[in-house]
Amino acid sequence: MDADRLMALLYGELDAGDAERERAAVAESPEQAAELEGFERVRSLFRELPDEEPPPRISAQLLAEAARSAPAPRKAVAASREDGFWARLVSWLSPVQHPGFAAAASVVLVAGLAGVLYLRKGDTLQEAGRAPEAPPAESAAATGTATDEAPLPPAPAADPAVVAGQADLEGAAGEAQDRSRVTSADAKAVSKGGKTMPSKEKSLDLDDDVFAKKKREAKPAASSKKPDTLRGGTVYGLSEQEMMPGDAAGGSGGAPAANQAPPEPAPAPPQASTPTPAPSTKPSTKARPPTATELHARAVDAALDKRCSDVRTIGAEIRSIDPEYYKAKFAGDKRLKACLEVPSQYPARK
Amino acid sequence: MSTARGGSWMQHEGEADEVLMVAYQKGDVRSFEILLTRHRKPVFNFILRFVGSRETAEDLLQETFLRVIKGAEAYQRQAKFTTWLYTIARNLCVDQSRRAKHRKAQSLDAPMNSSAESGTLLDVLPSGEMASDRLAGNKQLHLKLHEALGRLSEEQREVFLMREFLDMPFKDIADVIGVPENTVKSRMRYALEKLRLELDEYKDMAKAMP
Repeated sequence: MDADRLMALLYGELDAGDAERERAAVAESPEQAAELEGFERVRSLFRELPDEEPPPRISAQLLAEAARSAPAPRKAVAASREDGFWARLVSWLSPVQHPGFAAAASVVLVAGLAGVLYLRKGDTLQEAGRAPEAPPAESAAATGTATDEAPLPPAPAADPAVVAGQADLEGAAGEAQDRSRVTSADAKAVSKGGKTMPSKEKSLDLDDDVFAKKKREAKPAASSKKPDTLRGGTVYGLSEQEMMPGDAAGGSGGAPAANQAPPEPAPAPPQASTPTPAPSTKPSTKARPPTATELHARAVDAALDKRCSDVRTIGAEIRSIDPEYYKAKFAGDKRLKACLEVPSQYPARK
Repeated sequence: MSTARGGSWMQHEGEADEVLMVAYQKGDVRSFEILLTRHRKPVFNFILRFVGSRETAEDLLQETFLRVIKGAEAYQRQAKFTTWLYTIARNLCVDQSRRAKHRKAQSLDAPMNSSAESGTLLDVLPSGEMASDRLAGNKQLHLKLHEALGRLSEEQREVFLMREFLDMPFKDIADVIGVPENTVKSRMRYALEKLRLELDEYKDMAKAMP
């Protein structure tokens, strides 16, 4: 009998019919029967070999790392970074998809356009009776005043292009297109000595401010999440030395080890390898990392929503950034007790 | 154990490995904990019996699951979790063996690690509540089994460990190792033949076993 059939028979990987035939063939051959019997004896001896238990500290370290590196929160950020411009734009604007934000943005947009129309109508009337003035924006810039505060530039009277642009603005559709039309219309006015860009920039700035504000509001949701270890200098966002088992964690065994004293392989460096804590670069666009108190509040919300997995994840995060706070306040919070209680770990399994 | 916590544990406990892995992909750390609890012991013993050193096995065990954590985002539900897990563990063992050039079973008198307080392989083996003579006999047998395993080639040893201790089908072993299934069975047969010769003196003991 070849090895293929013999091993399949020995380990029960033949169907009933084939197994019956092979056993009959073995029974007719003393050599094969002896061989099979010998293999069975070997197997029975090795069944006596007991399994050994790995040290509990390894599990505690792995659970801490798993909590720190949970894939889902990073996925949206990574995807937005890896995709193209439109994907990033969509991710920035995702909060705007909320009806409330969309309504607010619409109101601001309409108000801004209406303001532009009103002002330009007034300019049109004034332009009819006087010569173009010096570009007010230049003087404003020279004195250091903000563009928003620059006086309104003159506009040509009864310019058909301007009138068409105004009509488009009143339609309030395709704001970028309207902007370009207004800009091109105003370019004709510029040729007469006036500089109309500041007013358009004013309206543009208003719209840009809306999106910039939305971007800033959207940023904390991404930046406060767990750091993207894949973008760090090392594979796990930690140096391999930091993740190797060490004796500093202590040999606390048994069930409570994972939750009470998970040895943090890297108390400080994770922040160094992640982009989140970077106040020196762009403080206006990036939110600071959440404090233990803030995280505690989130955990309470999660506990009320019965999202115990989130509670434990947040707990691990608090424990990593402020172990004293964790011990003093978080672990003893009765509102979180139901989620933090750990059953006897490592149930007997074979 | 609170109802909520226990309910969550019980809800996940019976779920398949692949389901738990997908849940961890979505941020459920509890699912990973169940996977770890479920597989850490068999993976550890596989590695231990492969490399023959407890200290090394502990390091490789941690490395194996760290790679699972790292690769969680890329894990696809269609892939069998155990196949993936043991592919990682096996590759780490092979790399370790190549580094250490370790092909023989450890001597009875050789310490497990460099620490003077560490014991020998005899001290590491677990012992239950039994008579001292039987205990000594069992320990002797266990040592002999470890030695016999150590004398197998790596190719034979890994196949034997996966089939015999992990109850992994030959097809899955072939996927892990990356060789055809009939090659796996051939290696298994050679391993069993070699072990049969090594352990011939225990055949009477084996006959008395179920």
